[in-house]
Amino acid sequence: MGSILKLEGTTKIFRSDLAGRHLYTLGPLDLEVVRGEIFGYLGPNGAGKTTTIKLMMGLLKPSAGRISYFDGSTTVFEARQKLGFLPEQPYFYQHLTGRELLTFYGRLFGLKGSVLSDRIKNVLRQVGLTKQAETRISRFSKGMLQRMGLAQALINNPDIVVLDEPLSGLDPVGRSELRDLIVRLKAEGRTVFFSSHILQDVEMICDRVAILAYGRILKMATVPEVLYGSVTSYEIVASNAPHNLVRKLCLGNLSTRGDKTIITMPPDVDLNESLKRLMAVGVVIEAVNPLRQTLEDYFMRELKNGGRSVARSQAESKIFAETSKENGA
Amino acid sequence: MKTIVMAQNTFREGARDRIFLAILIFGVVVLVSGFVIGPISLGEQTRITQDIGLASMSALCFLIAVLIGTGIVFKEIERKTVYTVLSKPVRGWEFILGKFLGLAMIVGALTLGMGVILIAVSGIVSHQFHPALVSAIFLIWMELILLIALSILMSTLCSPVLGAVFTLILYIVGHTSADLKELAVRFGTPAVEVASKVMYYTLPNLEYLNVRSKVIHGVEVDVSYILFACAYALLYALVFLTLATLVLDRKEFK
Repeated sequence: MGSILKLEGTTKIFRSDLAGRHLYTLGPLDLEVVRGEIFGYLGPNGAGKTTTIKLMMGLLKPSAGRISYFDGSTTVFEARQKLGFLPEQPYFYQHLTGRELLTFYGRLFGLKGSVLSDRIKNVLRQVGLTKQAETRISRFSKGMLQRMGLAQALINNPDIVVLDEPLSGLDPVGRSELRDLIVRLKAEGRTVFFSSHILQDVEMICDRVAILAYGRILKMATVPEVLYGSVTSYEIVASNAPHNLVRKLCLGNLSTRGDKTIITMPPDVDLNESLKRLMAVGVVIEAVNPLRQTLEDYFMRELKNGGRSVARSQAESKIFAETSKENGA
Repeated sequence: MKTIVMAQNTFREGARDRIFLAILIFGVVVLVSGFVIGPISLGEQTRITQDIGLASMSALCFLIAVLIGTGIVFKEIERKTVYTVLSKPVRGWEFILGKFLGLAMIVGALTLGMGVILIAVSGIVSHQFHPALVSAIFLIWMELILLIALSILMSTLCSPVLGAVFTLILYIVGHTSADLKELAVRFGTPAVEVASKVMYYTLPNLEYLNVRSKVIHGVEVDVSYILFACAYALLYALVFLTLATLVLDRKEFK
């Protein structure tokens, strides 16, 4: 599998004034998206997700580093022909109808005639806006605008689709439909890169994730690595388990769920031995569930650890800068 | 091709915003000047109709060109519609030129519509056809083309209000720079004289594109002069559009 998008040391510095004082720095970011995967770009608000995407689309110019597409051979402008992009909270020309808007975008890719009209029909069907094709954009609801945004991102039959917060602002049905669509895009052989802070959705559909915070990528991993890498605890569902008897065995925390007793045990416990001891006192084991971390647990932990390490590295560079200044003086 | 797509979209936006209702307003002004003011002007009915007609055509179209032009790029950025356009394979110059051509077509259609009304009314009033009006109307359009390019440049640099103020100042200076230079030479200090000369030689002299009084007074305007004025306006428009493209290409869409 070749790389379809690569960021190498990509950095963006926003300066606050002409004196050149730094206001905000994103990066350096190193990131590689593999052809055919769904890549989730996670981060809290203000982490720099949209800035990264704007750099990827050429709407911002990197202060340092490189962005390339299609095995590193193509620049951002050249790649746009095979790129689809949905901005966060998309805005469109209000005076156009849905069909006119897609015709406009399609023609910017050089599409025309029956090829264009077939593409428009196709994408409208894909996003479920066929009936609203002749409605003016000014009358579209927020959810419809998001769908139209996706339709325009697909008009050129792209190899890679970059979506900035595609799931925000959608109701549960809309979110579910959009998730299905993203999975379908992958099945068609397309690569999908999307940013989100809705972890549940990311967990359901992504192959790999990167966690961005404090302007840095804190972690990049496959979703199975994150979710199935480590068991956080075991949950034993038991019946015929008098609490006073089980408590004496000191296996873990007890709780009840309906008429069942739930025993939650730490991950390093000898599971076989514990089960034997429970069965020896007449407890009936109904189920044993290994509990794994959710993406949210992972995200929160990485954010906390990453925050500490970024703060440490920033403090170190500050001390270094001050020492150099003193030495220089 | 992409330039044409951008131009068509700009034209359509103008048409759907009911810009062309301005022709109706103009029609009323010309009819009033031709049939109400004209008869009380002691034999100057045709001249009055043509004078008021050409002046109001120029003013109305200038107003529309500046109001749309100074916001044409700024609003795209503010409303974020630019994100979905410039993330597609569209170059900065294609975007700017498309916007310019679209607005030039809108103003072209307006001057054409108003011109037809003016020629018709002035023909009815004087019982004769006035072909010389065509050259005056054409040069009004050329002046507007230059001003559209200037207002698009303003639109890449500042807000619509500020852009409109600057364009208006340059419009006034453009029509008076020769007089200002003359005054500075006669009565000004050496510094004022230099400043007025710099203004005169760098800013567009819009009086080159004003043949209205010649036409109204029956003075013939050479085709060669019209071609020169046309090239003059287009050259300035090209400079303004090139500058606008350079500014847009350096812009960061935060």
